[in-house]
Amino acid sequence: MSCVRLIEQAFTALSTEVRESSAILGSDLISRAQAGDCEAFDEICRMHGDRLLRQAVGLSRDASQAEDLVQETLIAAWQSLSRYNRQCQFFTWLCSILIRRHQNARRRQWPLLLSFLFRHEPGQADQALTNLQDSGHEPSILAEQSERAICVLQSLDRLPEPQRQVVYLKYYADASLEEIAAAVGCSVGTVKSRLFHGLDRLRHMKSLTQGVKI
Amino acid sequence: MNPCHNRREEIALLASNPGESAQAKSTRSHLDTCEGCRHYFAELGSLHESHITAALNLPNAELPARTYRYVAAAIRIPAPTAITILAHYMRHWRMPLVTAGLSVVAFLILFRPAPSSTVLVPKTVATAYIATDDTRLSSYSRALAQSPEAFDGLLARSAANTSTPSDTSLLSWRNAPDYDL
Repeated sequence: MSCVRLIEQAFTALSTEVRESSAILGSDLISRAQAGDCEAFDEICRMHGDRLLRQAVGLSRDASQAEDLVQETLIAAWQSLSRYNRQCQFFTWLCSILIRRHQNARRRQWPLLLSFLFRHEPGQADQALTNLQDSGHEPSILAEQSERAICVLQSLDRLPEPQRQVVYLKYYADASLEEIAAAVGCSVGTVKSRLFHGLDRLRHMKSLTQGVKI
Repeated sequence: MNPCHNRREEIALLASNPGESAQAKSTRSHLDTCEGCRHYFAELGSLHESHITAALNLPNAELPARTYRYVAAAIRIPAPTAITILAHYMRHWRMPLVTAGLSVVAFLILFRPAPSSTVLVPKTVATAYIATDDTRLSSYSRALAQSPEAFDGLLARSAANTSTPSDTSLLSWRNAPDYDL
């Protein structure tokens, strides 16, 4: 448990440093992009593209779908750039667009119900690893961790959309409660409430899969 | 063991946002005294750590150059103005015209005016009336204007003299029982 805390603190410190160093540069680019400078927006895309793709792969679990998702997100960001009011990090704002686009894409998929049922069955990560082991291939540690990470991220699919947005932005976009409120367009109190209900529901689902009566 | 109902939300916030605020201190001091809340905090803490770890371990990815090129081209397409939208629809006029025509036809079929409630007099009857002698008609109208009894008397004399069905039908009508209209 203490290791994870150390990792968390290191991550927070690193992300803070990255934020501060890119804040000045990013702010200037965003101002120019909001004024209509396409070159500035191209530069913003290059700054955030890989990180956004990483999030999209975790959400959709498919490389081509993830690329399409990032594409749609960046174009939607350009079209609604005037609505970005700098009350949150630009990447947080992009992630809020990304998760909404992902939700729209899931609604268009067919058969939606079957993919929802089978995508994040309990113990899916363990089953996937077992299948890999049965096939005679030893998964690398990184692949195992990535597989687990994706399954944990996709457990958010079971949450209602408002709660999923808040929990996703809190953990995967590393946004503060105030930034989440600005990105989503609600109050900090609403964010706190949705975060609590989302975590409580995830805890309840985890307890059910483990056979523990609440 | 269940946590305290009024403490659940602040425990969840403490688990996801460990800090040293006054609220966090108050929650921690409560956790020292309540086993149910401690258990709840431990579960949420485990959930918090699993998501933190997952966020760190998401697979690395590199956006391909074609995606950047596609986005760069898409943002450079000029936004459509009212004139361009109108020009677009004017170029594709056939389908809207056919749709409008079908709509008008459907409207006329569904909402056609109802036929008039007045009873049209058959042409033969009208012709029969026109063919009668003008003097007889004028005598009838004068008798009717005079009194109903005079009109009855004229009808009886006409029926006795002629055998036209029009007269007898009129007579039968006059002899029909009165109905309250």
